[in-house]
Amino acid sequence: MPLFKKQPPPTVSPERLYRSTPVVTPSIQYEEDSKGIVTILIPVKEGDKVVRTLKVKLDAIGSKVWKKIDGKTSFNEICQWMKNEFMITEKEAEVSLSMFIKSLADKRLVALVLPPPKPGTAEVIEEIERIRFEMRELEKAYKKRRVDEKTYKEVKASYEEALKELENLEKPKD
Amino acid sequence: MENLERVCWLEVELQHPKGWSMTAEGGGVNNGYLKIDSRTKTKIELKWERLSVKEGAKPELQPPVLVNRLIEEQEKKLKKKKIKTEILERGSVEVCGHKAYLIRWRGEVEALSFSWICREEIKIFLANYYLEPGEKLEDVKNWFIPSIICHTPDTYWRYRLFGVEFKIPKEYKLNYRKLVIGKPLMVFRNEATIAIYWTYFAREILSNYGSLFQWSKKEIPGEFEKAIKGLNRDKLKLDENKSMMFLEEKVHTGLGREPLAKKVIIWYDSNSNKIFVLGYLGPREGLESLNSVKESIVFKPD
Repeated sequence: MPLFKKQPPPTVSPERLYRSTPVVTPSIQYEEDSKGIVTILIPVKEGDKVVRTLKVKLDAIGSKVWKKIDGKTSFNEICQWMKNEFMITEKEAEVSLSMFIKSLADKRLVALVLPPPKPGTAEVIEEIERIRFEMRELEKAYKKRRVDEKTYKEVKASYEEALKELENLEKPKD
Repeated sequence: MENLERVCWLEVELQHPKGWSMTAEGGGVNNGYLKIDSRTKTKIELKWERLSVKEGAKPELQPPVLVNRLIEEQEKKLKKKKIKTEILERGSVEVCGHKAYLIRWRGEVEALSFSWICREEIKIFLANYYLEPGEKLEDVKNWFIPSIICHTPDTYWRYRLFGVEFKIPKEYKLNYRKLVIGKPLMVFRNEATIAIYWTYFAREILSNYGSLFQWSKKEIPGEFEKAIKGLNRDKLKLDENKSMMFLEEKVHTGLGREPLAKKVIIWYDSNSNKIFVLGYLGPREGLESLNSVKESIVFKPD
């Protein structure tokens, strides 16, 4: 058993996940065959140059759901669509969609745009923890030279700014 | 009420607001447990135990004992967290025609605990309802308590999972289950076995496999086969309407013993977009119960 377990990323409350919107990472493209099956095209870069493209083929269900991830349709709306399209219950839609999005997010193909946390609620603390976690991940990526200095500084600054705003939200209003 | 949803599980029926879901369950033969959570908190816990009582005698375990014991246990637990337990009300309430002993108390949150004996099923029940700030006790008494069903005059128990409802003859007890989202498997037993499995996304899955037969070759879980002691797919016959396959055979269990009957039915239901697999292993005269389970399956999404 490892002495130091890798800390899992902070979770998002189901309530907030429901209000979020999944978006495809801008550099990701996809192609669709005559049967509607989607193949995701992932560019592999060396510096600024794309050296090859990885292909991930989805199944019939994944393809249909992928096409719904347009950056405008919320998690909740996709769930409702899945309910009718596949004749499943809300719970089944929620669990299936969150698992699908998690698998895509782990590969950095998709990200979740979370709604702002409700001031004075546990959502603020949850968001602070999430940003701190992302900052630590960014730091690691920079040290391993997976992120260039310019991007590192820009992203770090935006995280710090977000943290300041959140810390203000956390404080009880007079 | 339109915003309520029915739970039928482990020989109990009740209702809860839409959006809540069963997050834990257990038992099935001599006891049962189920827990229902809202999106953020535990709301309902219900457990039962079969009582062994001699005719005319009073059961040893009585509802007030059970409720008070529960509160004492909570008191001990909460003391460690430096939270004081307070009894707010003691009384009684009617549950499915039985008088239940009730305590309203406050620990971490306000809760309602009540217990009753169902003489028809010879079981003792204990239920907890955890109130949220702003939630009115009277409302809970109106929609939750009257919705509980612990016995029925019917010959079957209703089960409901992921929008699929079916009826299981009362003599069968839930013996094994694997409740994977969209692909649940349940095995009910008395002297015979009834196994039920289904999968969602059937239309999409079948388009991938090409036929129900190809699907059945790879996708029927091992636990299902184990429950009915093997499934010889080569013996599966295709029904005329081609959306159903079945197998019927005799299983010899030893010299001088009556052979058992085995029956498996696999079908695609376009109305629910599901593939169902039903299996039976047991005495020949019990085969009818498999057909009655099949006939009872309905899809009622929330």
